Amino acid sequence: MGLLQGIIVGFKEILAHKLRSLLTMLGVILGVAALSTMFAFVEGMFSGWKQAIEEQGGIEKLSVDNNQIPEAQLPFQHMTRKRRRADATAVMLSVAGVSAVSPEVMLREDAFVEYRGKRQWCELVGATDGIVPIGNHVLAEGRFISDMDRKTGARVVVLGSTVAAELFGARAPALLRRVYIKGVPFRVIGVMHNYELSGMGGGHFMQWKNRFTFVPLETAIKRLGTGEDLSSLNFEVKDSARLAKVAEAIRNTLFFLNRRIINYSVRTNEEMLDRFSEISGAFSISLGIIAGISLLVGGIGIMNIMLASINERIREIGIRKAIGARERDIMIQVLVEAVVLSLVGGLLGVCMSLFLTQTIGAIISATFSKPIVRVGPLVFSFCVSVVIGIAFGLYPAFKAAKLDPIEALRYE
Amino acid sequence: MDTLPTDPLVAFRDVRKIYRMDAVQVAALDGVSFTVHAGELIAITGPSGSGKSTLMHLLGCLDRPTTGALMLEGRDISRASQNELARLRNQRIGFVFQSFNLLPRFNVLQNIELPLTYAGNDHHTRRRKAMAMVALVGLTDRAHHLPQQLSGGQRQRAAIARALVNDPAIILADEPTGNLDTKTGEQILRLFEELHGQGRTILIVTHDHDIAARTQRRIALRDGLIVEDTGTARSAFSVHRS
Repeated sequence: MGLLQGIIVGFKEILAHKLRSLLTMLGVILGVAALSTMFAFVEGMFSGWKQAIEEQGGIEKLSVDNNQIPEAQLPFQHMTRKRRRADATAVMLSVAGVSAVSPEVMLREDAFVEYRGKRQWCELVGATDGIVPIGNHVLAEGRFISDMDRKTGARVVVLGSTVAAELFGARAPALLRRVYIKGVPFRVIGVMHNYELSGMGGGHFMQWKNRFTFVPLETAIKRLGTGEDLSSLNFEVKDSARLAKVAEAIRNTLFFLNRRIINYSVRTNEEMLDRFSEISGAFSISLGIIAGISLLVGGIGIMNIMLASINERIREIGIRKAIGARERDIMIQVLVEAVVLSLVGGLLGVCMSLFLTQTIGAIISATFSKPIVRVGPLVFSFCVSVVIGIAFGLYPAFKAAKLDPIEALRYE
Repeated sequence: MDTLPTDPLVAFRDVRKIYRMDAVQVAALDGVSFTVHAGELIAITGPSGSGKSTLMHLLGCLDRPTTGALMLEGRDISRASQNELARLRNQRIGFVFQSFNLLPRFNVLQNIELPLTYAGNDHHTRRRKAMAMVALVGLTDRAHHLPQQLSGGQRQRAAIARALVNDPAIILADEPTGNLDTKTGEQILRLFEELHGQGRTILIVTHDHDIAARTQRRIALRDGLIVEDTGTARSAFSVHRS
């Protein structure tokens, strides 16, 4: 019997028992859907993370964080200080390979921008122009803080897009307006890029950037009373191959400047990326196991139904054997039916996965990265379903093929 | 020993079939010898348990004898492999059953095509040969009906067409009229006689003496032995053990 005919017979068998076939296929459908949806989500999650890291300066970024001093150094705690502008300058002078620096101070309290009686909360940062490449900030209009602004302690401000829109109205011009921060008048010289609200939940996952508002570092220290201590100190290293060496050199410089008291750490985004890879790997494995179990259940379902189906058709198998079907013919027939079941299940599973990724993707895009559908994983999931069909069809097929024709013909 | 001008189509030589049930051995056939020549119409009779079903199964290549030789067209099939037996059933044997045994989800034409499929014929050949058979048994206007849409007599005609489609050496009919009313049974019998008239070799297993009386030769079995073989000029040469 030809393979094509076997497939046709398999389809007929499925159509003859629509509900039963559907229930049988359900395991495979869910398994394949789970598998390919999982692939899409992990893919989306990982790319979202990558983008998030990118938005924070990418893997070229080196950050100096404030840390608790180690226990052994506790007696010297009174001698410690936080990072200051001098540290940034020293690193720039002593460490080769650093392409940009961004010392930052943050206004922790009363971080409001006022305009004609309206107050808008913001993330107020005293910054240098180094923050633009390092923090991956994008200016929408006007200009950013210049060296001259810093030297003169100019009272100029670059507003976050949300802040500007709330104060002046969405389409109103913002530049050159006078706003107040802690009672100090500032001139608006620029507005940052607006990360659009999007998706059903409303909101871009980079939306937190929309409230970042910048004033010159020196102005923040002198006029707004943020203090000399830097809230963060970041460097950019263009040549990422030298990242580890530069990090070590920065550690050494700070070690020297800080009287060997280690109340800081130097960290790269690369480590973060590695951690994300690990997490997404763990996700893949655990979701993969769930999908695998579901496929296994699907396979068992197919085996079960094939066994039931050959039990119903013992007589038919007897007739087929009596008129000349070889063991191989019967085996192929049952196997083809199992494979057709899992094949159709696999196809439906892929369709369901596409539907799921579209729907869930639309719902969660506000808070999370969209799932990314790729052909590779879809094909893989589909192939898995076919393999399941063959694997779990083998035993029933073998059993059917070995039936004694005389017994089978006698079966009522 | 065989002095006939033609070799027999089938020859049973001291065939035994023994079934083992736990410690007990049951001889369903206990040394049976006879020959069948091409063109014969034979009735095999006997009470239930006499071994006629076993005889049928052996002759139909569904089973192999425990001892003895079973020659089909000069070939000993008692040592044939499962695949060879399947091929013989497909090519040389045509089965007709009491309960028709058509596949319920296949229409008449598809049922008749099935042996051709297993013989490896392409679609067009299958269609052509099956249509010829449908015409032969007078079911042309029913070719696309499912078995359940047919009367008993029509179903048996379809089954006979299926048995004939690969041009077998021998047709084995197991109580072919058992599930039919007298009138329809008579029509089926006439069809067999007609086929016999065309030179077909037919064996009918039956306990209906009216049928047995109409065949040219009758073999009666009891307790696994042949107790009567009315014989023909040809079958007189077969050895009886009693």
